[in-house]
Amino acid sequence: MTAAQKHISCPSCGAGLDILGGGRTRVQVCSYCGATLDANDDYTIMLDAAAMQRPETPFQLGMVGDVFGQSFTVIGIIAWFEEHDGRTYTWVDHQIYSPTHGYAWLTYEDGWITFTRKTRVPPNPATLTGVQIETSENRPKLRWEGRTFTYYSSGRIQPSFIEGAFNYVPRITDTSFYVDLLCEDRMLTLSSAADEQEYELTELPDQAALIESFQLPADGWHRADPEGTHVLKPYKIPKTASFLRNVLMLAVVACLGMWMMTGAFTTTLVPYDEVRYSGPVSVPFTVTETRGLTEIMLRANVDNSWAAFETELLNEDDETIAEYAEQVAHYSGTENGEYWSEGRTTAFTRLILAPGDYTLVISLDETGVDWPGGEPANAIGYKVVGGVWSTVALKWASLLFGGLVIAFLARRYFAHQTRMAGSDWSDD
Amino acid sequence: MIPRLIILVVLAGAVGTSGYLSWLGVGGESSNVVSARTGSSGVGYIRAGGVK
Repeated sequence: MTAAQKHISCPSCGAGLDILGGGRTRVQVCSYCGATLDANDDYTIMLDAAAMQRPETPFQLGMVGDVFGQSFTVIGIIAWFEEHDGRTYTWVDHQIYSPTHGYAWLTYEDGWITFTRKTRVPPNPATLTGVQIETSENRPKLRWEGRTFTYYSSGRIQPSFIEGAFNYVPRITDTSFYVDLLCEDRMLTLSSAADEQEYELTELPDQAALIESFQLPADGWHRADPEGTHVLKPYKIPKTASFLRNVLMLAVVACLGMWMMTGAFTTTLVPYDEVRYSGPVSVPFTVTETRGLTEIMLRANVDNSWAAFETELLNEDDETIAEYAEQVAHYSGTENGEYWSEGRTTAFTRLILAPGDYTLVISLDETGVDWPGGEPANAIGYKVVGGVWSTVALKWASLLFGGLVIAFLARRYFAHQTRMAGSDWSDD
Repeated sequence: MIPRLIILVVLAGAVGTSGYLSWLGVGGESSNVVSARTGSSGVGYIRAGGVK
């Protein structure tokens, strides 16, 4: 669809021009010779013709379409270029006009079309200079309307092509300095040319709806993959995946909670006792529970020394059904005024035992001193507890569920990194 | 809703199974215990061997 038009003849080249835009239009740039005509002075020549190369864009002057539910007409086209690190970046801005909503911009860059409008509300702080950016330790941030925007890029830009009507006077030789900052789904641009500072907000409209509304041609321009990444396209996790992530987090909490409670449901079969060691010690006990582990704690009064236990487990017929060895060692001292210690005086062994009567025969097989001031062990302690939980299943379940949650978070992190890949910020 | 219900049931089952296995003591035996009958380490065998 195209707008109803008035016509003039270019006083420079004589070409017929369609007049678009509202009452605040300042200039009309001839599509054929590039002469800038003064819209407030009967379209007399304001600036001489300039040779310009037409950029690739799906838009043409006079096209009409809806953006965020409002009808706009394309009235001006201005192509820009920026040179940075030996590379040249280009994009095309289209000034659009609505009788009810005034002037705004549609920008075509890398196959995407974004919508930009000016705002009179300054951010806090209101300016961000190149020097401030260069000397900042971290990405600069500023606040606007209660939202935080983070630095994305900056640079000096210059037009390479101008055509149509504008509500200001664009010159092919003018340059301006811009700073782009991002929040989740919007970009705030601080633009300064000469002594003027302007603030612009950019959003990403629904591409398919916009293309259909403006009836953009199917060929002759590069259209971005709608599923692709764009800096103004926030990472959105599907609702079911989000639900899965949240349930996984709950599962991790549940497993860790049970893990922390595993010591709370035990039964003491033999309370702690300590005896002076003069020979093997027999400790009878009865396992009553059909579930859980039986935990045997052995202790020796090692002091800068070590001790080795040999332990036999007898059933009610005095048959040896199992045996195991344990060793404890404990060292401590003071070095440079600081107390230190290492090792342990206790050893824990866990077994699965069916209900029944058992006897534990504990032998202090050997004890030795291998540190100055040490004393060999001469007393042992023991304790038997039943109904002990195993932490193995809970540990693996926590690791599995936690790993999946981390995978979700990593996916979000990498999506953010991909989104910010076009930023010129360097932490160096 | 059905995928959510499946997710909820599967994960609740996994958490419940983990808790139940832990409560039973499965996998928590010390590896230094040797069976006097077979010489194999671990004590899972004791139950299998049938303690009277």
